Amino acid sequence: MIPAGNRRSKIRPPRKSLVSSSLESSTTDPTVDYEKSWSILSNAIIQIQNKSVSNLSYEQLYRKAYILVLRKYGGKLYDNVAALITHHLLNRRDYLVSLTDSEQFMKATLTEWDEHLQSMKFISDVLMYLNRVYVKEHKKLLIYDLGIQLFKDNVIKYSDDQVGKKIVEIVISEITRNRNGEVITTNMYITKLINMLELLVESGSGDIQFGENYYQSSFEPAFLASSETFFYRLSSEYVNYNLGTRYIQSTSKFIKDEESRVNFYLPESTYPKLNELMNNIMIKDKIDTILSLPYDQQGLSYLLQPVITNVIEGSNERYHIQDLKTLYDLIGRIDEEQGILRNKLKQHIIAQGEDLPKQIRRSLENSGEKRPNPATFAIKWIEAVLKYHEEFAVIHKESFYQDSTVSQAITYAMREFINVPPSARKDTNAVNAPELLSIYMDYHIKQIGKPSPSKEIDAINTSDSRDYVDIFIEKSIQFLRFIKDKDAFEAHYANHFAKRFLSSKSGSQVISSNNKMGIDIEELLLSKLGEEMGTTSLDKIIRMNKDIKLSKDITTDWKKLLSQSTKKELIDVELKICNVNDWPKSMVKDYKAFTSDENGQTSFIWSKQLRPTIREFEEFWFSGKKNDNKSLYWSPKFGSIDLRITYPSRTYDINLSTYAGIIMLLFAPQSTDNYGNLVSAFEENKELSYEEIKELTGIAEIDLKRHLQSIAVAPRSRLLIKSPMTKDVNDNDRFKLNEKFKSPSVKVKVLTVSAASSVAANAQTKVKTEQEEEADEVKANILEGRKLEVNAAIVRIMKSRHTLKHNELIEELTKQLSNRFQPSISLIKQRVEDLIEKEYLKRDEEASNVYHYVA
Amino acid sequence: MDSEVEYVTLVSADNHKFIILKEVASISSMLKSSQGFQEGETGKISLDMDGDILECIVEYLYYHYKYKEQAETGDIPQFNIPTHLALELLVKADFLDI
Repeated sequence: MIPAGNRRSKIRPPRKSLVSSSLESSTTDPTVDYEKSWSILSNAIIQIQNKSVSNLSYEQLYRKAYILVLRKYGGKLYDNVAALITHHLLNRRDYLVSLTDSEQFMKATLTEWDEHLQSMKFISDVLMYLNRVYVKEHKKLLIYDLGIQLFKDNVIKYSDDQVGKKIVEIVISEITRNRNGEVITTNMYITKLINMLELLVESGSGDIQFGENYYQSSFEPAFLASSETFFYRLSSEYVNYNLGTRYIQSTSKFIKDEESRVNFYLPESTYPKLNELMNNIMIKDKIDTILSLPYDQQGLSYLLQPVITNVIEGSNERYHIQDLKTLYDLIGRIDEEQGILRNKLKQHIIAQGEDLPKQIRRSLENSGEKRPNPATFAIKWIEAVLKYHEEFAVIHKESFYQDSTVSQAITYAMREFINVPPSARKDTNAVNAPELLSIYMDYHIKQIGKPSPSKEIDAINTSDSRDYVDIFIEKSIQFLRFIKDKDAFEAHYANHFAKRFLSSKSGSQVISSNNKMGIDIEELLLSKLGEEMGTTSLDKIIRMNKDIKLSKDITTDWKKLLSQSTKKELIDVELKICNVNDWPKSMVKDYKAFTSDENGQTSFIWSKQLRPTIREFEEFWFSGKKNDNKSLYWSPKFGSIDLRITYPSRTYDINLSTYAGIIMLLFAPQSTDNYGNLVSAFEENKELSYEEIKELTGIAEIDLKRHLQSIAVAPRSRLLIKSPMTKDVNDNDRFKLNEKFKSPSVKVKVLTVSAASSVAANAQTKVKTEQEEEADEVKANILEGRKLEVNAAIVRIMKSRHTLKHNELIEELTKQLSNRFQPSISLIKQRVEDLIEKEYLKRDEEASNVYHYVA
Repeated sequence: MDSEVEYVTLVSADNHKFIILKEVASISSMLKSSQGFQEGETGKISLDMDGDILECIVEYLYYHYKYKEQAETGDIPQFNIPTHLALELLVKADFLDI
């Protein structure tokens, strides 16, 4: 191109004739010119609306409009176009209104809409210059938008929304049909119509908000209202099935379908509104009723039934995992925290848990045990509770997405039924969890302690027994975590611990049989319990354990001494030396009774065969000033004696309790024959009366009768013959050795008749059984311990806080003691009074509910 | 795309014909819009302007087409407008909406 500067020619003015040749003449009368141009343009628009665009010359039409705009006819042109379009639309509307079939109507409306949009695009192309200049300057709607506006006003909303209402009505009725499960063929029409309604934006006149479209202002409210009615009807239909699972399944399915329906047809903005409506009506209002339905109507109790069945019958049903999951999902829609589910679960778990003992007793009875003993029940119950927990762990994992708040609720509810407060234990089925756990552990420790029948395969079994120990400990600890009154557990455990030690035939044997695994089960448990509850609370048991170790050491020392001694009358002794302060009172309280005679009580008489050993040991014990500040008492209540007795049939090694042993020793041969040899006991054929035995041994009546029963009445261990041969031991019975005693094995163990049955025999003597006494003592120990703990805690708190209100103190106390036990308010009050009396605390002079710490 | 319609013919008032790429013509929204009408069928657009003006416009359209990618960086040669046509070009550019 030639550079502009080179020509230096004048700028040529635009040629007038080119702007519009026809304008030349019309400058004088522009109106005529407008009419002429408009008639061309309006014809073209009509042609466009009749879909014959291809024979129109765009350049000419565009130029016409261009010129009109340049000549300031923009406004007039704009209005004329609007009027022309309005006229066309009103005609089309009449056609739509004439259609009666709804599908045809939908289709026709969409066709009109599509065609209108298409023609508006062409019209807007032709009038591009009008858009660019006139519309912009006067801030009017662009021609295309004007077209949409006109469609809304003259088709949809004309004559009181006649067409609009019809669309809304038809679409809603189609959606309702679909909700009812009908297959509808108008899916595409619905989507498109809704799209159309969304495009019809309100211009902001009257009470309609500006920018709101026809969908929002008219369709949505109508749709939500009809949905509401529908949801109400459907959900009450579901509830009326009176079947929990059916409600859960139907509701879940409907909601799922509805969601995909909504996603398909409706804009996103409607979803939250519809969803809320649906959740409220279909779930929130109904779920409580559903969950509370009785078992046969498949409420929550039905869904949770397999848990109990699995626990009691050991089956492995997984029936309702899916329903529970669906339920969780449904509730999750209305409450993310799952409050309803958690509450209902709690109720049901507590109810099921409280029913467990009864079920276990029943299943024990069914399995043929006529009088289930406490240990069997304890084991079953503990196992059942742990299994129950496992079952819920499965449900929690499979159905509840491992929701931690739900798991908390489950644990909470389980603690609730496990920890029945003592005051509520009136019912025979109520459980005393701390005691039962202790019984359970006692049983298993004894099992582990038992030497296995086949020593040879021990090497192979070591890993098995190790597993057994691990599983047992794990289960115990797991259960312990559920127990609220840990102090009660400790008291029971201490009691069992002491008994295990004192009544074991030989302390070292229990230990040694464990040694094959390289562990001492008692030690292991103590350390595990210590980890769980803190070692200070196990103080007593730890000290008892020390006594046990010390006893072992002394026994070893004593045995060494014995092997060097020349005194023949000394016998082998396994020693168990207990510090009376640490061991359960019921066991050690009468430790002095066997040596002193102060209160006129018949003092116990040790057999003369034993006396030298006792003397010798006492010497050893006090030698070297080791135990200067201690005193030693011998208690025949515990332990056992090994006797070798030669019966006419054969010689037996007999193990019997100390009392029984001492009774038997009375029948040992005393006299020598002419040659100075001991005569056989059977030659002596000694016969002693009950009174004589009582006198010679000094054993208290109850114990005496009991042990005589063990060795003279019990059929398997009838070492003595009683005459007359009755079941009970009476004051004028006589006893002598049983010449005909026979036993299949050389080793015989005499089991002591239980205190309960011997007392039952003497029902008249209203003495508490040993067990009751023990139970009372444990109870008393717990109460005493609590007093001390509450006192200590109050002092601890007040020392740091100095001044506290009563309620604050209680709150703080409950918090501090919560992992030990639940202090009752009356206990706290009582302790506070106690401390005020002891001048640790004083009441505020003005406000009586405020305490001060007295330093 | 159909090869026949890739080009359009612009015809001036004095019957000069310019065959240009449709894509280039579409830079003018007026020329673009015309394609829905008769002009789209015939592939011919008659314009009420002289050949020299139209030539200049076609040159500009190609210039715009060629450099539109670089327009941002500004690294493009100047487009020279013959001084004597400047005013008339202004009017036509408004008409064509360039």
